[in-house]
Amino acid sequence: MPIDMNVKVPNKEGLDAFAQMAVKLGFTGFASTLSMSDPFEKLENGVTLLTRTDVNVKGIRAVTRAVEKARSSSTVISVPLGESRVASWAAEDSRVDLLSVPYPLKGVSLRKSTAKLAAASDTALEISIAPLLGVSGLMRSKVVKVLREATQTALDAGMPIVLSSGSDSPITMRSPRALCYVGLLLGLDWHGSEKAVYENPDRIFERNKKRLSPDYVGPGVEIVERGDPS
Amino acid sequence: MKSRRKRYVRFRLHMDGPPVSDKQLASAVRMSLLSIYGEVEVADSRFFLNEYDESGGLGILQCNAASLDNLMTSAVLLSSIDGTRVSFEPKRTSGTIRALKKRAT
Repeated sequence: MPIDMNVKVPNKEGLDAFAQMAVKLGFTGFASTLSMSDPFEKLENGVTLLTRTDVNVKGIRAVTRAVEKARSSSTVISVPLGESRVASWAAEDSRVDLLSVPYPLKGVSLRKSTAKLAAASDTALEISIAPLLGVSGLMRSKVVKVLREATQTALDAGMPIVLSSGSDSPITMRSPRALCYVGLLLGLDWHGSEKAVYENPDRIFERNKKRLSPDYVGPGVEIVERGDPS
Repeated sequence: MKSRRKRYVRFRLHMDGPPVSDKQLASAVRMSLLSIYGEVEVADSRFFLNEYDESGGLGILQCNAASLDNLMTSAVLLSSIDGTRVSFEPKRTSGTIRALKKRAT
């Protein structure tokens, strides 16, 4: 089930156009930072809209607070790669779903140690392809370099990878199959690309759907039946 | 001599703006392939646009099997063609054009 984990819908009025494009391209859902009443909801055309929170604050304390606050209302929580201490903290925290590669890419890199921590807590590296679309020539080669290095570090550490569009308009969205081809450019094989587009996003969604359920108590503990209080 | 295996790809070009002609599309794909993978890859790809409907954006292209991945990546990374914003969607790949058309019906 392909889900685009990063679609930048500017406002609620623009949501329909993105949803229509998602259906045309074959997505079953997409995640957006648009504030919604529910963590995820099915839209009229059958596509599922997931609420996403990008934690763009500095310092571990501020990030901890932001993640705590967002966990109960967001299906997807992403922390951008930046300060290494924050990235390592986020990689270790199982409440964080994605470590994303931010744009501009200056000074962005994924450390081996961060990738290993992320692999252990099943936090995925999110690579949005949007920076590759707006540039060409030498500038594109610089973007490709950073993204390929991050991908290779994640692969070596066994960290899951998620490929998303990062689109800010419907026409910059790409189909799941198209995203798989970009994965090849980043150094993934076809199987790895498919996993990054079809399997990993869906796994994150299913995991968090369970977590957001009122019957969820903690990892491995959930209420299967409620007794009669009388 | 080793025979060159071909691949046929059915695709859709989503457009936001004036329609893109077959010549414009073919040229843009070649330029993108040239920019990312170089002159030898453009030469080896043997890329050709078999069919293309300007209004709907549906079409079939053919290329050398070994160059398929690079060609598709180059096409997917196209963001605009002569002012029209585009999104290239590869739909199905086949070894023969007949099989591709058969599956479409």
